[in-house]
Amino acid sequence: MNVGATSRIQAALARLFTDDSLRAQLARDAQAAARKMKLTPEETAYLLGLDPNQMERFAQTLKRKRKRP
Amino acid sequence: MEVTAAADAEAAVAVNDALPALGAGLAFRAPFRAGVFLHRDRIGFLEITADHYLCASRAKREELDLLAARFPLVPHALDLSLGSAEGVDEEYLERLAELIERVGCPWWSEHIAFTRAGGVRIGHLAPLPFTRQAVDVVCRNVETVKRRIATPLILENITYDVMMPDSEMTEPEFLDAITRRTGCGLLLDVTNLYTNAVNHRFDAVEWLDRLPLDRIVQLHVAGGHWSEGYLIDSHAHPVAEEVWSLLASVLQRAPVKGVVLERDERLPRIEEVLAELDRVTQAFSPAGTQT
Repeated sequence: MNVGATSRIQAALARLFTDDSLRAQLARDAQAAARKMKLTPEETAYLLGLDPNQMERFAQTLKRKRKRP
Repeated sequence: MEVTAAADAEAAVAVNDALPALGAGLAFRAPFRAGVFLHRDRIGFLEITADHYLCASRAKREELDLLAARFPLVPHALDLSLGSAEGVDEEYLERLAELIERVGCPWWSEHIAFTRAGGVRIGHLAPLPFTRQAVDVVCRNVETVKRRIATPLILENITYDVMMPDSEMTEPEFLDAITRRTGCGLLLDVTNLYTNAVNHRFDAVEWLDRLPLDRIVQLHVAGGHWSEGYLIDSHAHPVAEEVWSLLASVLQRAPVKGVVLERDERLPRIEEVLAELDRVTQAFSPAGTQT
């Protein structure tokens, strides 16, 4: 994977980690979520390699940590 | 190639050897302010969250100067995003550099993680895959940072809820590759190691055996809590006995210069924090190599 693809995947992850509705869409209709994030099939496949439960747990952890003073 | 790697390792160790031993430190939080001044003799140094002082009010700048006049300070940055493939934010880097120059610290720290991408600020530390490309990205960003900030940078391992796919190496190999190539020391967060070991079911002691222990400059300890069978790195509770045990093991084997106790949530009275810090001091002192 080249740096451009890594940048796009990191951008997609940043959105997924912080956007509940986008995570739900990825679980419901991965191809639609991938189109929304302008990902290639290879990049989409990478994201589908993530454990959805782990991603959800991380998203909830982030919410908690963002509240810190 | 092997000669270069060996030279890199020697250079990194030489840098670490030149750093002062600071002992047991506390992660400064504003509610602790009165307490830390009152109990200066029990606190070796303060780690300040750099981000709290980057766009600081006059009151915060005065607080910083007051702290710097009475304690060795070590800035700890959260949002440089050294793992971002798109590079580091130049404005953030510039403000960080000004802060580090202002406090005159022996070293400063940041995480091996990404916190921004595609215009989105995640708000905390997101993990990287353990790949050669991620090593390249971090090393390139660290080089950018080192061109602006001469003060030694040490890099911290994070907790990861998400296991990134396609990793090509173990986490100790990943940390070894980054610290070797950048010449940076390591900030080993012992609680992060323990948390990852519990949640992802690996042996923390075996993990330590594979780590380049001579790169460690500083340690973090904190306490988390359990939620639905999962250990949360919340910094909301006292340090677990398992973490104290790992801390003792690391202190026996690594040339540690400082250990910082962190607390971010459910802040207790300063006396409770200082009692834990006293335990850090006790754990720290017998090793002999740190003083």
